[in-house]
Amino acid sequence: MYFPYLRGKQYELLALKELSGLLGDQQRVVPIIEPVRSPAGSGLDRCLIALMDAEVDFVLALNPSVGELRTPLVAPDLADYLSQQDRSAAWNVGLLVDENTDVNALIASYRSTVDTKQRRLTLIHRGVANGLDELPALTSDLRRAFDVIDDRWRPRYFRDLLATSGGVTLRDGFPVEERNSAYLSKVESVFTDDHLFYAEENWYGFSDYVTIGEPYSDGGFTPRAVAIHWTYEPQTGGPVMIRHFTSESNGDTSNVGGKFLEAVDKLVAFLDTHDIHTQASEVMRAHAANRTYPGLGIVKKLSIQNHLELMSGILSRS
Amino acid sequence: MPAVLEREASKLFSTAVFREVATGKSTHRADVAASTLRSELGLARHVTNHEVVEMAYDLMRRGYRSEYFYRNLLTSKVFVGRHRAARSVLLNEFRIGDSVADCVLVNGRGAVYEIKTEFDSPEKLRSQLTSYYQAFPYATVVAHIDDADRYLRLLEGSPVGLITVGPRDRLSTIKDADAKTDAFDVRTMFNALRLSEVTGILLAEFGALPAVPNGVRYAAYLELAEDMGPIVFQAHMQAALKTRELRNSRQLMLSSSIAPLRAVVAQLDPDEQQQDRLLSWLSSGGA
Repeated sequence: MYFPYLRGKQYELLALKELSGLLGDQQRVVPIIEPVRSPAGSGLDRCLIALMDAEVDFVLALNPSVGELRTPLVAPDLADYLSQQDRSAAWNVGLLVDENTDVNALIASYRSTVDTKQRRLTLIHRGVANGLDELPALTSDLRRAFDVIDDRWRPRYFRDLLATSGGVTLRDGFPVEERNSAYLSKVESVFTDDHLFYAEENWYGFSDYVTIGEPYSDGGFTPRAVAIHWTYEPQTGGPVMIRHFTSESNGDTSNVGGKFLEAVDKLVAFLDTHDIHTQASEVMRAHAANRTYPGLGIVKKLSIQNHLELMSGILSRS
Repeated sequence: MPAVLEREASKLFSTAVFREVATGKSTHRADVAASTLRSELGLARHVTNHEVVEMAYDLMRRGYRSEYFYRNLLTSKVFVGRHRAARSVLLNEFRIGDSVADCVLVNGRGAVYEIKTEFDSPEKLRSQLTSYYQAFPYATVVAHIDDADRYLRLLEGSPVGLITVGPRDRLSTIKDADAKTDAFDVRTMFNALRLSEVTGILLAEFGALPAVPNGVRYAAYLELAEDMGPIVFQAHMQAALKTRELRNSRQLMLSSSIAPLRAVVAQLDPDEQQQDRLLSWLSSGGA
């Protein structure tokens, strides 16, 4: 199974919501969502409803590490939100754990704020907690389903936890650059080969930060360059690669629409050469043909959707 | 003025901080800055934010080192004092090309004021002036009176004016600014405007706009603007900028009680409800 890790920003949620039908049909993807804004009217609710309707399983993190709801223990807004949802009883909820986590306090806050009877629990190990050894006992009566483990840490540390849960290996395959213009000189790189080996290496699933990467930034500013990030599978059964299609006239912040067209023209030439036809690819072809600019949020959304569709398709093939 | 006070004061005298107060988003940043200042100034908790603002501003004034103080001084003396905040527009931190102009006053003519505090070095000045003359005919450096000779030497033989700030906040014109109109650049001016202002100008000039998809709109509109020529486009740009005059807060701007915050008000132009929020924050004490 593939566990894409997404922050609950508007266009990330929209990407999931719009793709929920396809993901539901193929049943190979379990999104992990780390909400970054209060759930009331944020699009989170509409996204989760779409996922439930399409019968897509997901993990909702309750103690976000970034954004407005950032908190080491269960965020009160999210606990309230859970308690108000009729259909949330069977949801899989997530707790982020890192070096600074007080595991006793975290599990205590989970027990006191969330009805733990039917809900499944996923621990997301961004780091190795000091009290890691206590976690199996602390969670023994909870329905712990998955342990997501950042691949910077040796799986051995988590052996006791993994004895009673499905392990998911998390790797950030996105090559982050400070400035978009730096992608101009970047060649393609391997985004992931985890889909080829995860089962063999005894993982239940694998995870990544889609085409956004792990570092989180809130809001944004007008960039000097427009870069479109696109994953693809050059050879069936080979690794998934990522390519960057970047505008050329990047002297100032004006004319973002024109820069988008410079980038999308490169992308479409590439899509045509490789005969790539994901849904998001066809939307990009239409923008290039019509000379329309959908806005940078939509560009990001399409990049995520392409990646989700690609990974879901690869997994449902085997 | 001690460094820590200066830093805290500059955190408070920020448009971003007061925008959050005015729009009702949050008073958190303003509260934190005011409460730090309260304790640094040795003020009791019940002392209102208004008094904190006044005292912090007074300290900044004595230091002559804060860019905000100079901007506020120009707003008070030139925009309010000379123009009564009417039939003219004061743009604070206005982007022109690769530079950001501290103040631009648009009335009949367009004049850029570049502030150089004691702490600023004149290094960037040349490239800043190059940008400013691509959009406006007049440019003036505003500096402390002790730096007058240095800047006068630097600006000799150029059309750039020099105003100094002396004791009791006196502004003195040391060198008049002359007009320079041969460097206007349509693309720079075009980029400095909002889309609605650009379409307004093009509609007035051409009667209709080409129906093009939004990805190529910029290029199509810019081509039309280039056809107008730099002198004509510049006049239209100034007329368009003049419509950014204060719509809501002229009375507030004239009131002396918010004098330390005039540069903020000039940028925010708060409506009635936003003014209420600002005034209510000012009249409250510390937590």
